[in-house]
Amino acid sequence: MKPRLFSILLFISVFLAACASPTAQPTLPAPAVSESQVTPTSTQPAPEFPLTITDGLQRTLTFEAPAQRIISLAPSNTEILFALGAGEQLVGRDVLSDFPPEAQGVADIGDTFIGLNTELIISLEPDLVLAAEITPVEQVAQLEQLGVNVFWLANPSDFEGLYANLAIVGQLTGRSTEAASLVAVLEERVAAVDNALLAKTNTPAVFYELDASEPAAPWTSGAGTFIDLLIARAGGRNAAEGIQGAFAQMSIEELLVQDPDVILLGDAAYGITVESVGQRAGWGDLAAVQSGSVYPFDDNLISRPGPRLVDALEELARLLHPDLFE
Amino acid sequence: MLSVRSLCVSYGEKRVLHDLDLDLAPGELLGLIGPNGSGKTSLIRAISGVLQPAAGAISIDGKDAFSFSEGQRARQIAVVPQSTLLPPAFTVFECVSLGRTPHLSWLGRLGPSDLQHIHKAMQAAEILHLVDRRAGELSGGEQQRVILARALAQDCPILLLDEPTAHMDLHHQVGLLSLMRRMAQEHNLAIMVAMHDLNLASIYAERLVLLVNGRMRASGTPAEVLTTEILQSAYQVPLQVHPNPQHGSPWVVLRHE
Amino acid sequence: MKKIFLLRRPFLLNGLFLAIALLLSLAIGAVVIPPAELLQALVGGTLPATSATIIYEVRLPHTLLVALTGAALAGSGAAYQGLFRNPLADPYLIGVASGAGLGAVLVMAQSWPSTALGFYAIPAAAFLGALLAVGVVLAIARVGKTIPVTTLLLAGVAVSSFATALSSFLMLYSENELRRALTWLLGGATLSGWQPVIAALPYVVIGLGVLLVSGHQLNVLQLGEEQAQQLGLPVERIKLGLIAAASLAAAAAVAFSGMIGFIGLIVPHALRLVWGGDYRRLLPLCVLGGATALLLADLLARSVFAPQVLPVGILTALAGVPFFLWLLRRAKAAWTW
Repeated sequence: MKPRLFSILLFISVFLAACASPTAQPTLPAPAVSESQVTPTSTQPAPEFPLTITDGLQRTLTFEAPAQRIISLAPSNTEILFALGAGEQLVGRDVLSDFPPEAQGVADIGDTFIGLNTELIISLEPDLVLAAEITPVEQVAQLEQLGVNVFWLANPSDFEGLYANLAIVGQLTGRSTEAASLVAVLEERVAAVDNALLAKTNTPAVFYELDASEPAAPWTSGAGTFIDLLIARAGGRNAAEGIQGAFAQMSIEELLVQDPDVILLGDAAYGITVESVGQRAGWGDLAAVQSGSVYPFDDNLISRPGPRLVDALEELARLLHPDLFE
Repeated sequence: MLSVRSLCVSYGEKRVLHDLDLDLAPGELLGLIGPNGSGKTSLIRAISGVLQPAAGAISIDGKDAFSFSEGQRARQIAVVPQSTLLPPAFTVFECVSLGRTPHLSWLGRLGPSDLQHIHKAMQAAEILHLVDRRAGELSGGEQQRVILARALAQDCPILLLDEPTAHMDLHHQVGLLSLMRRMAQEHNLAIMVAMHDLNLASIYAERLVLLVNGRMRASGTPAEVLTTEILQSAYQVPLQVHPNPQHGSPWVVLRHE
Repeated sequence: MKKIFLLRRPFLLNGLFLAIALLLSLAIGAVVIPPAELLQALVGGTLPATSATIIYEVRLPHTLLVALTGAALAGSGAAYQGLFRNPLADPYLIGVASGAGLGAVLVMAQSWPSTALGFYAIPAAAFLGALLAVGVVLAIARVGKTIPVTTLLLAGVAVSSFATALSSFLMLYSENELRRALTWLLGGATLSGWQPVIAALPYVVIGLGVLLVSGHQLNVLQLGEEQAQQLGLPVERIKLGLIAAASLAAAAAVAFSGMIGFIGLIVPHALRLVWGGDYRRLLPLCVLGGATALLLADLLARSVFAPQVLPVGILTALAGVPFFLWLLRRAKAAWTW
């Protein structure tokens, strides 16, 4: 490999390590589940098995019984399973699944990107492998060939999509009732945020920093992404709404023009402190830095399309409109 | 019998050989002389087929050489190129045995007669003692003898040598040229040697061809070609040709101004 | 004495190494399979279902794919070194890797195709990309009826740089697929299952087959193209054929296993240092030795951080380079190549 390419790749890998979980990708369709199969209303009884269901890759799968030995291939899936009370049905998880803490007690079956350990997956004898959009289709095909049931859960592009995903996983795991009540709670929490924001008087511009190892051109998330959507839902405006892409670079010049009211440090978990932001060349002049509106933010809340997206919304709303959430 | 008629060779726009006629008969040792850039190497390359002539004809025993495949031509003409690098990790034996290529099948397996030819060639070139050495460990002169042995192993009626003595000491220069003379006489080979040393050419070649700027300036016996007048105009240096006191062949000496 | 006996029988020795590497690769993995069951598997006995699946459906095809890849890379590396008479030549020199990379990244940059064909879209695109890049290089380097080596190498470097730049650009724009592309480029995307083995096998067999019977022609080419022609070789046709064969094998390897570096460079040199430069011997030795070397590197990649699997391309360099340097220091020969 050419040295130049290698250094680029090295940079990319470091950068990606700094946002080690998938971001929502809104360009993809929401999970393709027909109405009759998934209607997450609280009045409906647990669905009948055998269950015939279509996954995000348009594959139609049939399950004879609720999955009892589940392997999760993404942190978001792991979080959904635990939130539905199906954590005890989990027998394996990918290396990035670190939440909730109990997940770390479950067998590690490798890294989706670098390579899942097929042998371990087989040896755990799963009756359901819950894949996500970060799972390569080749991996799905291979596991399928080995006789493993794989369900590929597409990323949601909005809260409705999230609720639909929760309902699907609920069906697969025989936890439809739990799914329905979880969705009800989440809907209530989102509605509470929406209600509180009715009284807002301003719409602060927000710069969401994914990585700024190159302070002259930090990485952020552009229009149409889940970050963009959450900022808007939390009563703000994405300062990067003018650019495209879930990983997009914005020049410091453009940042100075946008002059955001709030800067959120999605890279806080990797040692980026509020103080260090003011020390970057040119950043000291930003309104957000001068007014002290730079906050660390747990990127896992946003980048993992699971139930904690609602936590992210609440946290964002609190940061953008502290007066409305006393 | 090799015969060259009206041969013209160009490198791009630049013509390096003009209208050359030349015959090389079996049993003959022809010396090819001339200043640097006079076209000696181009002539050898054109005859061996690696250089496409712009015009003219080359025939071997009356047959058009251009109609030959690479393999057919390599069974007629063996070439010892100007100083060249041998593959360093190859043994001397491996290098010499490559000379058998035109006689081998695709897989290149050597038969008993091939081994015999290789042995004889190495003996003639005085490199039998080097047989297992790696080419990368040899001196320049030793490498040239390996290349000579490779050409001999090729076992062709026509042998073209391009300054084969460049890196050799006097002993091996004399050894090589007398070997060539013997090969021509005993095996009836047609041999052409491009060389710079006019006095060695005078002693060993039966016939000389002098090239200047891509044209034949003179051709004939050493006595006919190596004259003061011809050589002075060809090489543009003051020199004098005397009869060799030992056997009367021309003897070229530089003259001080 | 024993050492000398084996050194004099390079095929026996390297065959033995390969057999050991194959066995180790089958025996060692993330899941411990009792030796008794392994023996059962070797003699064709019945096994518990899970063990059978792991051995026959996971380890065996993976082992074979790795062995094929190593053989293809080392074989084509040796052939390229011989063709170009350049000790620095490797299978990726004239665009195979960058072409494959571009093909793969192009497919990765698309959103997921959900058809069955899509599952093999990446290897297929990488394979086509590799062959296309070599074709472009050959077309550009052509001068009249000949392809001068210098032009070929320069065209190779230029086309490679262009394809690499385009890949980098696409990678920066393909967002989520960045890490997959990176993993693939590091030689970590070894697919498992039988389909990749079956898909790669014909190309590797044809490519290596042509190279294996062309050892003598490569030997003659070591004298230089002019002398090779004077020795009766139709040089241009042979060069083209050998480039096609070596590229075919390398493209298949790259397509299914990602860019694994150093095997194609180091294995031929290491074997050359011990057993000399005769390509009739060197090429088959490279096929054996390349398979062995990559199997061992893969074994390390699978076990060092188990259950995590490292991209094997990293291991080939980390483990292969020190070994090669040790050999180089030890040989101290005037003819390292």
